[in-house]
Amino acid sequence: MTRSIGLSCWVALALGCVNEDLRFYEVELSGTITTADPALDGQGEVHLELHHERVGLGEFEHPFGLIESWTLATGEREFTGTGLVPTDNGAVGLVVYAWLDLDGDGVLCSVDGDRSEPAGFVVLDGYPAHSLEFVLTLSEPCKGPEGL
Amino acid sequence: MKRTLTGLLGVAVWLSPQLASASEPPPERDHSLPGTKRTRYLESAPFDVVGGGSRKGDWAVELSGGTPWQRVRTQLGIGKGLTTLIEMDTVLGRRFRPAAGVGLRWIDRPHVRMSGELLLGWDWQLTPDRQRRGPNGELRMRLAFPVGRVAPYLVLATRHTLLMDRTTLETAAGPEVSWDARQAWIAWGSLGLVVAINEHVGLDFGIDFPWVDPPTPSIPGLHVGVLFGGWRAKR
Amino acid sequence: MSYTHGVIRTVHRLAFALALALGSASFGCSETELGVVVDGQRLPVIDMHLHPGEWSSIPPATRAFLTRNFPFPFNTDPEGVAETVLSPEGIASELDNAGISQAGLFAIYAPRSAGVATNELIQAHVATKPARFFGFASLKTDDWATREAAELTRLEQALAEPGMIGVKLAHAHQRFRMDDPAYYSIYELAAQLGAPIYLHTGTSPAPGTSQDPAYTDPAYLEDAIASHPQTVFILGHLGYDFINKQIGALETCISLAQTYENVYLEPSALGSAFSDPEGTNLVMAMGRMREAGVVDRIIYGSDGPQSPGFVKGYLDRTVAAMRETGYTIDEMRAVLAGNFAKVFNMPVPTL
Repeated sequence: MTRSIGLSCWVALALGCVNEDLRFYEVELSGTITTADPALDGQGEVHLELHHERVGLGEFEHPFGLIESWTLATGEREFTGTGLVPTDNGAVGLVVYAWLDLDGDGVLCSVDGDRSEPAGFVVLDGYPAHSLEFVLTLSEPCKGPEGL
Repeated sequence: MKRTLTGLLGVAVWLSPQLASASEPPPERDHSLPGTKRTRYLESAPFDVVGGGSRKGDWAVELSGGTPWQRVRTQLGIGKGLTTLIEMDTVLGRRFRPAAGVGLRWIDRPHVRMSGELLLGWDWQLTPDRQRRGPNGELRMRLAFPVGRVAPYLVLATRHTLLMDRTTLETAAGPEVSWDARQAWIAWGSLGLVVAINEHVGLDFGIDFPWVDPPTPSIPGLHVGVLFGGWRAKR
Repeated sequence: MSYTHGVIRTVHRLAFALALALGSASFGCSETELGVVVDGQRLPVIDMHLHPGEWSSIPPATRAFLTRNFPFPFNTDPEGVAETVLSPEGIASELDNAGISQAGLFAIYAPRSAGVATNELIQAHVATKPARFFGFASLKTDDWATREAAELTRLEQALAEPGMIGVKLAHAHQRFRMDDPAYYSIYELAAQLGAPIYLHTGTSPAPGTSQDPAYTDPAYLEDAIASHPQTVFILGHLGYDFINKQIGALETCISLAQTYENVYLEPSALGSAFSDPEGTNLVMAMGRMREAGVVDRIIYGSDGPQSPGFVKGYLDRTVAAMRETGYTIDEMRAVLAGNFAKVFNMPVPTL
């Protein structure tokens, strides 16, 4: 009895002390990235980003909000990863966006580089769910997520 | 900051022979003795506030306002150089810190008084974009040089607040909660002058130097206060 | 709000007003005459880049970022501070203290980062002081595939309002690529309406801003500039790297100004105490632009109001940088007001 009272007091004290209170939803992602141009199979690194589909409330609402990003090994097209999705910011939905880095400079269609690097995105159906799969085709050259 | 520390060290070195010669604490004050012109206010309530420490049974209150702090503070001497403290300060009604603690006179010479204070309290800030709350501890040093009716003084303090953060992760197996702790540090100092109107009432004029949440810059402030108090019973 | 809190807030505002007055004073005297004195001559000044707004229209992450950078104790009431500084009266006070005759006020639709200051807000501000304030309209670039036509219509309507003279875009804050042809319709409309476009170039420390080169490096604007010769592009901040506090894409901006007649340069913010703590980058930039022969393309702006005294302080730093790098009186006159008047087809303010 004394122990549970003490524990409750500690919990109450701790709860009253909470400063940053962060909440995340864990999502295990797995998917396949393809290119519209078969000639690009096996070439370049895929840069993949997990975004909220829409974020913010009222006048702050906007599409896309970056959650996490990954870079796959050169030629790799199968992806598995874990995303921690913030859940306390008015966000809805999940989107995967990716682009293919053909010249290896880390910049999509850099001004002095390859200006044909394709990009694409897919909305993840089924969210919220702890395990989600996708197939993403990269077909639009030089497009950031806002341009798709 | 370096100059301040060097100056303090110099003061400590200068005082150390006198401290060494003070072989035992002076007797508790007899308030019925009138005292001389130079010593009449030495144990007055206003000087007790800024120099720290009250004789057994003596009490004092500080009410001060200015920018950035507004403050109310009470102290009561309990003997053997110890003083209990209860205080509350606020920054423009947005940040609050109530605290209780104890003070001890380290140096108790006629015209030099140094005391140390330890306080424990709670710190919280209501600013929507920078809220915070948590237990707070403060170490404070007071140094005053009472001469006649006036006492220039210096206060240096370091204040630490423990901030707890919680992360909740919703996994397929259920929620996982983890806690992290960090601390927020404030240092502050005051340089001022107290004028004793009589043994029970005085005025305080001071400049405050906050060093809050570095490296965010802090703007110095100033305060004006009323200090008053008395003693429980004649000895 | 309780009575006590109201009293405390009043005290706070009085203290802030005192800080505003002290911060705006120069050598113990406030500037009350318009213009800046250089070698005995008084030169008129137009500051083309100021940001009015409302604290509540800044996204939470950016509010937290700004609050951390407000000095104590003002960071305990950032909304109160912002209300004073960002209001039309606060901005006018800053202009008075700096001796600035006229100023441009920027709209922005950047919900991810810098926040929202609507065209309607800017129009209302301009209407309070039409002789001193000009407005730059903006538009939402999110969901462009479905909203392009509607947003262009809104932009056109905004530019038809009194005092609205140009367009403000910020690719990094609004998150659209500088080289994406989908957005070229904005430049086409601006050319049709004769409205110069101010564009933020360079990185930005505001949360939610894209730091990718395609959103910050003015080199990615060259295709748009070349394909829209009737559109005036004003490259703001000279491509400065505000993250690392370095000169960034200055040479690219200069090269674009040398190559294309429709390019102008604006040296705001990069020379502030926060962004240029050593005080060398603004001097270097002004000197380099003079050396490159593009003084006739420089339009002065500060990116204020930011904090009490910032507008005057930035003007002082810019004038000092021009002095140090050998600008003639006529060149300074052009930078401080003449080039703006030429680009926007307005008279130079009389003093």
